[in-house]
Amino acid sequence: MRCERCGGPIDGNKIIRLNGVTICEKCARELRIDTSLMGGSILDQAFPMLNELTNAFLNPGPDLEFANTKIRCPKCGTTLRDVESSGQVGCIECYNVFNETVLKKILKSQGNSEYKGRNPGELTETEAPVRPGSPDEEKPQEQPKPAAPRRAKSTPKEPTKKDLLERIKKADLGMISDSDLEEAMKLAAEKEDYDLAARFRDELKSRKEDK
Amino acid sequence: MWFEDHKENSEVILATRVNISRNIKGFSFPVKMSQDEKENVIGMARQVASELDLPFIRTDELDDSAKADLFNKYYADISFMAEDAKTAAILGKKDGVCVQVNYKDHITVESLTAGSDIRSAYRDAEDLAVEFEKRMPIAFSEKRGFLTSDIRNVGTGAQISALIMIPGIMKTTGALSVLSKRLEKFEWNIKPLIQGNDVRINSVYIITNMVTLGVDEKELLDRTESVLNDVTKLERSCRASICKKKSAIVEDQYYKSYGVLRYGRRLELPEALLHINWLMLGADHVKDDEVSLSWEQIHKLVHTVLRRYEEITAKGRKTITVPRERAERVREIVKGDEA
Repeated sequence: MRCERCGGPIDGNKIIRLNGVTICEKCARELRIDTSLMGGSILDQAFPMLNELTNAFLNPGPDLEFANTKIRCPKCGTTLRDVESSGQVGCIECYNVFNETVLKKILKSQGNSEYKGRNPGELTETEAPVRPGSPDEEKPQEQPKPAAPRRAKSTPKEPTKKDLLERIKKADLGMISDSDLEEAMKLAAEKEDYDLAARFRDELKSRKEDK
Repeated sequence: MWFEDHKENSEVILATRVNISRNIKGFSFPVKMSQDEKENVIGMARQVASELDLPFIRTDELDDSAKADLFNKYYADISFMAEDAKTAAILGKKDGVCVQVNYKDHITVESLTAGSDIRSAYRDAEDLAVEFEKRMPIAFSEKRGFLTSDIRNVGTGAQISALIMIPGIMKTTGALSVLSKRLEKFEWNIKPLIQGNDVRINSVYIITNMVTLGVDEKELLDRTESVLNDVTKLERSCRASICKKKSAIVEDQYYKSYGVLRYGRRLELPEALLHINWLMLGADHVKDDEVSLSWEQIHKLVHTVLRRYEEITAKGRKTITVPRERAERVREIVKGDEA
């Protein structure tokens, strides 16, 4: 998860939310927000603090720089922003440095991140399948399969992970099995929807307590 | 030139292109490379070219006519041949095959063919790519495959695309949407070659494979073959239906278009493409000894109009000279062997 003010990464245990905005500890300090107050309702907090936060967003100071330009590959200098905006990396090392972003981009454009191709120096068998009617082949030619099931509509019998999450989101949680809930919790966390993940976690927790 | 041949399905699939991208370990990708690194990669590529006995060309040593030759054959883009680009090209033994050095990736093997023979185009590209892979330390990871500068290309590093001309589909209500849905199923993308309002008139599109992970090369080829056959089948049936139902209109437009292209003195790009569309639609339908126009001539016409170095680099004289010169080139092609 990233700070919505500076763009820097936030440690999972130090998430600070204020008025629907997620910020990191450093920004909270800069905005002079007392993090000890956090956790309660926004209505409990002093109004001047809210004003300061609003002003900080509306009138960013000269020192305000998004951290995705600060996170850079040590080898070639490519920044996270470059990768996010252009989909291009500068060197092999970038694949390690921006691993998470790269993976997200790949999954978004391809729906799959598993490599199944050949190794360097090997040749691919490119001969066409034998046509039907050929004397050597009696079986009809197999049609190439369309793309792997990536969208729910193309594979109604095997719902995708995204479907599962959507379904559970809308459903009455009491009707969902423990295993599905656990799966949904992981998916929600992967998608950085921590509120939803927390909802599922609380439901699972309460079920365990009931037992 | 490779695109002038009339090959299987080439009345619809103007060209099929395979690009195989490879990078060398130890160097940044071209976008982040220093001038010295670029020189080193050029040196390594030159060595491989010499071992394979292939012509090696540094683009900074090319004059305008040589650049035009590379561009018009689809071997290089304008930015690839920019003054300070530090790039090079290696020509394959077969017409339509070349290697770009230091473009988006260190090595991009390109294979082009008229029509839909993807297997031979891929074979030519891969054969050459493998020669580079054997002679260079290639950036490869077992998890991600061949590492490329564009994340969307990582994996096989093979991008397959086709240039298609589909006047039948464009003139048939709903057919383009049927084609788009079919392509989407195979995870192919379709976009007009020339953006703007004229797209419905010029009917030239590029379709591109978007998947380089999760499938091996063999499946990729099977899918490509299927996609190209589907496009051809749909376009052919649309053309046949139009020629049957609107026979008189097609015939009339065919002759009018022939007349404009044969005798016109100024041709704007959309106008030229509009008339080539009618020639394509009527080519197999209008049978007349008065007009002799072969598919080879039509292919040459399309590519002459679509890709011309002299037009792209014309700058100030664009509005006056270019339409006149275009019309002159078109007249020459349509005239053919006429006395």
